Amino acid sequence: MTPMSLIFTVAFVVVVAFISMWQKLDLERDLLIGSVRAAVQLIVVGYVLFWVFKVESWLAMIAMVAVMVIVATQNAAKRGRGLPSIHWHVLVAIVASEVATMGLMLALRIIPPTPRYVISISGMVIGSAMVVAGLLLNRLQSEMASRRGEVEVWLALGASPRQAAGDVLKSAVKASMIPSVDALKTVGLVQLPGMMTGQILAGASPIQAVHYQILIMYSLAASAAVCSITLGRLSLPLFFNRDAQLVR
Amino acid sequence: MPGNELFQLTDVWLERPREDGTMQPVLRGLSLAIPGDGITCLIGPSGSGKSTILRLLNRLDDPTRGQIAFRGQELRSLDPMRVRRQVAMVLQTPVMLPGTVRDNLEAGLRIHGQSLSDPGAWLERVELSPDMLNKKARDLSGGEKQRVALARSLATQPEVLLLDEVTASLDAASGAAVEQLVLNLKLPAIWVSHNMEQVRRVAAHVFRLEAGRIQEEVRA
Repeated sequence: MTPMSLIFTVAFVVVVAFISMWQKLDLERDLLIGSVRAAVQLIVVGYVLFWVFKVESWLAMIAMVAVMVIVATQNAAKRGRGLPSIHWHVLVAIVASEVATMGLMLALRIIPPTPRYVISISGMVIGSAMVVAGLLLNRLQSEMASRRGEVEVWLALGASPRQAAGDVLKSAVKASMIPSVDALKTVGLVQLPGMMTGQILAGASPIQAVHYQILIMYSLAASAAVCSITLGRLSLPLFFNRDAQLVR
Repeated sequence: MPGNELFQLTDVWLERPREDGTMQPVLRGLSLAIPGDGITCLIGPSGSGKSTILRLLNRLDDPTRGQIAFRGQELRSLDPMRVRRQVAMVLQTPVMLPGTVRDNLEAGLRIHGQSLSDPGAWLERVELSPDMLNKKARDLSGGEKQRVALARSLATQPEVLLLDEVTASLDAASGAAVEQLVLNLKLPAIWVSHNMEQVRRVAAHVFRLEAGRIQEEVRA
């Protein structure tokens, strides 16, 4: 893509801005901020990746992954406002999903341990874990609020907090996994995912692109499951005090 | 007789946050000795704190200030889950757990890895047919739910019952059957009721609450 073509892509943003003004959606400001941020972030990341891939440094690779984890944690933890020390819980869940999926890929030699592979795939794994963590926290809080009576019946029968909120947690984990499961079911039929599209546009064979996409889809599903279950189990006790009373 | 109390509440305060952030007192320095024999009824207008007391005794909540003793021991020093198994509570609005009537009846025992030997018999005790064991609990009528909730609590074999308006949503015949069932159990119970006729029939002790305080002990 030439620099001129890149500049022309601004036309898409102009179309959205025009629709927003025409329909009085009041999206122009957010759209402007979002578009500028996206361009700046991607250009910076592009240059950083260019350098990291060139120097092939383990330290730089780990630093890149750590930045991804921290930003993802900050973003997902916003959904758990009001829950004490939720940032640490989200951090542990996202790290667990990254370690589990990336560890398996490296241990089974599915990908080589080079920054090019580890950083690219980690970005997708951590991004998926971030979305799942946000969904889980959102759903867990709304389920705990709407099923308060049910949880208290269990408590009144002598159940532990984990027993009392077991069904609620199950519903929240299930709901947070829906996008990942739906993506598995519809990939290739409804959408061609970003990685596959990118590889095809870069000239790779579609068959080769499909191989990588299968790897990504499976690892994203695993990452989502590990993140959701870890975060659910870690954050459930935050709704109770040490006397097994429902306090949130 | 002093020293023979089931529960002893001393200068108990409970405050709940209002929407504007200030605190609303629900119980205001309430002191009350609940005897260990028979049924103790709590009466009084809505909002006087009757149901709140039951929640405190089941340790679903703790008081903001003051002390509660259960059989002479500070309630807060006891394992709350153990207390709740000893002191069963039946709420005014029955909440059915997911699943069938059988699942609900067995819930309290399942927590401890046990099962109920004859769930149908528990339904019969609350004047319900054993045929409804496999019915979805949430499809029952309000009165049926109330009786299943009572049977669910009784199936755990508690030592004390906390009953919050348990017959309010039942017809006269079912209400009388539940009343008789509770009387036959011969368990100490704390029963919140608005039905003065019922209070006269069942109560060994009656306390009237008003605005979060004990107004008087009424002769049963």
